[in-house]
Amino acid sequence: MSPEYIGLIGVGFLVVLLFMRMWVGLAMAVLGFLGYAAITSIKNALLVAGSVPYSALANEAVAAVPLFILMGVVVSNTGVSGDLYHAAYKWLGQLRGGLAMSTVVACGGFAAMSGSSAATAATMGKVALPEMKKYNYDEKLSTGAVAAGGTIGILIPPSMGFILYGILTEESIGKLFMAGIIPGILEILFYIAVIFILCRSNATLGPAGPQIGFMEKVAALKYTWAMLVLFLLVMGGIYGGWFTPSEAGAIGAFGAIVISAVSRKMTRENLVTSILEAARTTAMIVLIIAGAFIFMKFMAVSRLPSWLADFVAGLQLPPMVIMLLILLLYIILGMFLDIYAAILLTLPILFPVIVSLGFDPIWYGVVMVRVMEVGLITPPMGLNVFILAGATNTPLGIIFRGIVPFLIADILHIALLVAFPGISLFLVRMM
Amino acid sequence: MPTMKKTHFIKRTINSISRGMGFIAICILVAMMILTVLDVFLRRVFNSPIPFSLELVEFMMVVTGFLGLAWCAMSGAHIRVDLIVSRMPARAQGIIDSLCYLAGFGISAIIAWRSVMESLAIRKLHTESTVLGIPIFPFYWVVAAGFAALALSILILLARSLKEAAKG
Repeated sequence: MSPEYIGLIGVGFLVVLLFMRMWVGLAMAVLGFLGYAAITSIKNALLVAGSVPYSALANEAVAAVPLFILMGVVVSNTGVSGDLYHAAYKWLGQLRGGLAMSTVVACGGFAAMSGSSAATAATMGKVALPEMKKYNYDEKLSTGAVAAGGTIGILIPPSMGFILYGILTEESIGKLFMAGIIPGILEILFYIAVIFILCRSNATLGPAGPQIGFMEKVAALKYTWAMLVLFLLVMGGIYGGWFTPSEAGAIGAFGAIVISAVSRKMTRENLVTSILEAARTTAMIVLIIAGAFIFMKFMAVSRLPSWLADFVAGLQLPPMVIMLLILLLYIILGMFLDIYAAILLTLPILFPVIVSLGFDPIWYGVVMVRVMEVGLITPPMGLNVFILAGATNTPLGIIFRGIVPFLIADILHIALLVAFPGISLFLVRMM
Repeated sequence: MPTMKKTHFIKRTINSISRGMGFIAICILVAMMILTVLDVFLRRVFNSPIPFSLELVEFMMVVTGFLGLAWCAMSGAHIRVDLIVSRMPARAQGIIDSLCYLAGFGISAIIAWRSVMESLAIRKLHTESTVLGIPIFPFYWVVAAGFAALALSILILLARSLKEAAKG
């Protein structure tokens, strides 16, 4: 049996184990180990099992994982989300649909502190939905805005998606972060446009709030400026090359703790909860990183990825057609898989194909993460929708219907990013 | 019954091992943050970086990452894809989960065992970190400890799903 064939069988069995709801990290480790043994020898596979988990983790870049997670959980546990929302509301509230727009903007602001979409949706949902209910907003619009706005969490840096992509492909995490900024801001604008159009055609969806004076608007920023400064420090430091992404993560986490302590939002209890949560999430991601690196060893000896790259090149299709097929695959994967799992599962197989087709790996990272956001709000597994439904007792059907206009915006936004790589790469080229 | 007491005792022991390791993971995570912030601060402001910061961070990452594994397993937080199995009858779920936990136990035990062997091999080579000269071999023990505890935690989960499978 040729190694490529064994590789293919291995991928098949991996899918089976995943559907048997085996932990993703261990499933990859098991098949990576068995596949490596089948192609080389048991002895070599045992060497891989003993050395790869250590070497996968003993890497400065991996330290970005726990540190940015810590920053995100501190921010979400200390009520910064409320401040962001109220500041955005003071500026946009008097417009029709203004509360929903504020939600999206606040989601973007929260995304700049947190690398997780689920956390963004859950935290903003708690703050924004009661307000929108108070002002008689249509339930479809309000939940749709939170669920869709939440997906911005992994596009605007810091982003756990980019960190994992960088660790696996050895692309620069800093460049990926920079590449996510403009697309993330554009996504916010797209969602605001959706809300604007919806409320223009039907004013009862989102009634306008009272007028608010300019001074009050400025005053509302007083609670958020510290977080803005922290974001600029963290990202500016990466942009200017003052420190590495992991160091930026440490500064971000430390800064978030200091800011919430100074503004008296930090209790000992939520500091402890935050650190516990960060350590647990880290362990969860570490297991899939270790599994993915063992699986990558198997993929490398099977030569399946390079065979796949040759095969795809032999199809004589324009690269863009292949790219669209791959993106379609990611939309489907995103519907079923956890986003971190999807990244770590597919990159060992597909990344060489992307590179051999001549696509920019940084641009591809942005588009891939953006495409998987869609899976967070589509049936059957739309994670953000489930989180919201659970947190607010809104029926799933209502949220899914509320999502539809935002999905249309998603498709246009993705098309724009694919058609004009410069949108993603502009800041990277300036670095 | 004495056997009940015994299994209870084993469960409690495994639980406390995983929590103890989790506690170390948490402390190291906090230390890692403080060390890195200090290093950047000293480097940018006083132009005198901590020369060993980078290698310590790598070691700390190994400790904080692997010692949290078992604790994460006991709190049911590891990522899995549950599309089909949860819709099956309880007994089928028990059987499928048992198979997965068995495989998971196997690979975790293998990684733990081989990390010990790797540690012994590296010890002979006297591999050390560049600045502080910290020997690297003990950190393979950390990997081994993390995966050994993970394997033990999986045993508890395995026992639970076997019970489910046997109910019928």
